[in-house]
Amino acid sequence: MEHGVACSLRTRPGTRLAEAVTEAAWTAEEAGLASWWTVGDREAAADRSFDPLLGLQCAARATTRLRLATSGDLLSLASPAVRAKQLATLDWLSRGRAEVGLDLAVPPPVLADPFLEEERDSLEVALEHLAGMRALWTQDRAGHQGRVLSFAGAIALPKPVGARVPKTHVRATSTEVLERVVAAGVVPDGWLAWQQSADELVHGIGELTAVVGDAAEQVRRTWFVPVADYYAARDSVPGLGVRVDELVAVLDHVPAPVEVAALAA
Amino acid sequence: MEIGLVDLFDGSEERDVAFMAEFGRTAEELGFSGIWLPEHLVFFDEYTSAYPYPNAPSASDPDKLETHNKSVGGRARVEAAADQGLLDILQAAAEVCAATTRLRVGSSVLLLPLRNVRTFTRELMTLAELTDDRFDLGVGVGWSAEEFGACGSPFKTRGRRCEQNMVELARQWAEDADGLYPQTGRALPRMLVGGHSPVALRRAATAGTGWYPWNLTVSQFGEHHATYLRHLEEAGRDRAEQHVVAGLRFTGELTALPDVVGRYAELGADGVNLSLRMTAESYAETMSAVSDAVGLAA
Repeated sequence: MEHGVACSLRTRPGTRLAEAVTEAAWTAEEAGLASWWTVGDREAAADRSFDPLLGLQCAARATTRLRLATSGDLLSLASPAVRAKQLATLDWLSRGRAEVGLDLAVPPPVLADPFLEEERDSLEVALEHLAGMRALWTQDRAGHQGRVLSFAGAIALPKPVGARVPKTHVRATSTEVLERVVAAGVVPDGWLAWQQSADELVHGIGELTAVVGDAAEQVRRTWFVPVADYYAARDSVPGLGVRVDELVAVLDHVPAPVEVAALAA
Repeated sequence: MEIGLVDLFDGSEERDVAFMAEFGRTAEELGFSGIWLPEHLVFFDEYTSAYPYPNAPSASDPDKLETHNKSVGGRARVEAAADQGLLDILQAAAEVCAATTRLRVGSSVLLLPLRNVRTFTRELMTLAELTDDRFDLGVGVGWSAEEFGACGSPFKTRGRRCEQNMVELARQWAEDADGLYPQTGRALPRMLVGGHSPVALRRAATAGTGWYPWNLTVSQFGEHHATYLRHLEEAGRDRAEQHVVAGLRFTGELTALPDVVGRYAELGADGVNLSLRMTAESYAETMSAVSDAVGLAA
């Protein structure tokens, strides 16, 4: 099992954001952690965090090996071409280390674009935006035809390294939502048990298996726990009865290097 | 007088991260005030939309326009490579600022109607933090209906959305009534409105903190600047608190540059931005020659 860290981009008094992320991410890599995650858009707002993606860029500059991932993109809130370019740029800057985590639950109303008047099904919009982003990432002259997004002949460069779709994780969600994701042609690369209890984790993986069948074995399972529960969670994994590929400690601030190093101990 | 350079980082191997850093440091050492980055999310082989700025002031006579851009089917084309790339503008700005200490970086211009202001505010606050307030936000409404289509954003209402986002951005920065954003104590970046249409001039004077016209002759600049000043006065705003940058595509002899720059300055420009389309091989020589021509190193 691999280990990682996820954090809101809040800094301690007297510290600067770039330096704090640089030190923490560098320490994470040196200590042998596998990944550096942001919190999602939902938590960034609740925590009054700095922007997750620009924080990942700081981590990219300070490291060469760490996987760099978002954990809760609310795709319905953003233009798909803007988000596709942001993530492709992060991937270019990090030489192919960017991964994407999606939060497919209904976004907080306070984050909705205040000047778009139409009522929309956020899941439908998110899935269409994802389809559009995938087209922009992989096609020389990209196109998508759908109910909420239609375009053709778009030249979107740079592509993610290798013109691939960056690994796309989905936060644990309901069977109904997961069925709609699969119906849209998306089998997630990863399953994010975001701040779930052990029971919720096991139940969620059961739901994943029920919907995607044997393909669930190929889906990477990542369990995010509050840092205070991290060591107990680590000890509990062997007895869960399900495979967990990665355990990630979640902090509400950019950790000091000593906090990061402790996670690898 | 501030002299900025408009150039691009395209995500190619040739213009990699090391190039971006060296490009920025060279501009800084040679006395340029900033690097300004254009934005397009996507390009197309064919457009139904016409590029609105195909004519640039002549170097020998900046009261006359010369046409540099190609036209297809009677419609002017944007100056871009066949497979043109552009990095995300905010990350590119952060990268250049991380390699420099004084140089400003601006957007020339960012397509604000494509943004959800709720999330964009956080991005801009973060960039202000990472750049230590060295980012200038040039905003525009774009011209390509095709690009807005790929972004899932309405094209016809882009002007209204731009202004709504400007006003809301400033409000959220000042108030943050919903408690969504980090508390940095930093000032809202300069917000310069691109373009010179009547509505752009009004928007610059009433909702922005600056004006950033592109490819105007010197006399056109003077006329529109006078209108801009009138809007400022009507809005009860102080010109001294605004920032005006005249931008142009410059292709002539560098010996003509001091006169061109001087004439914009006489008419009220605080800065001039030059698009020179420098090559990766010779940008340092070009920057040095421009710096010498306009006396930046002095």
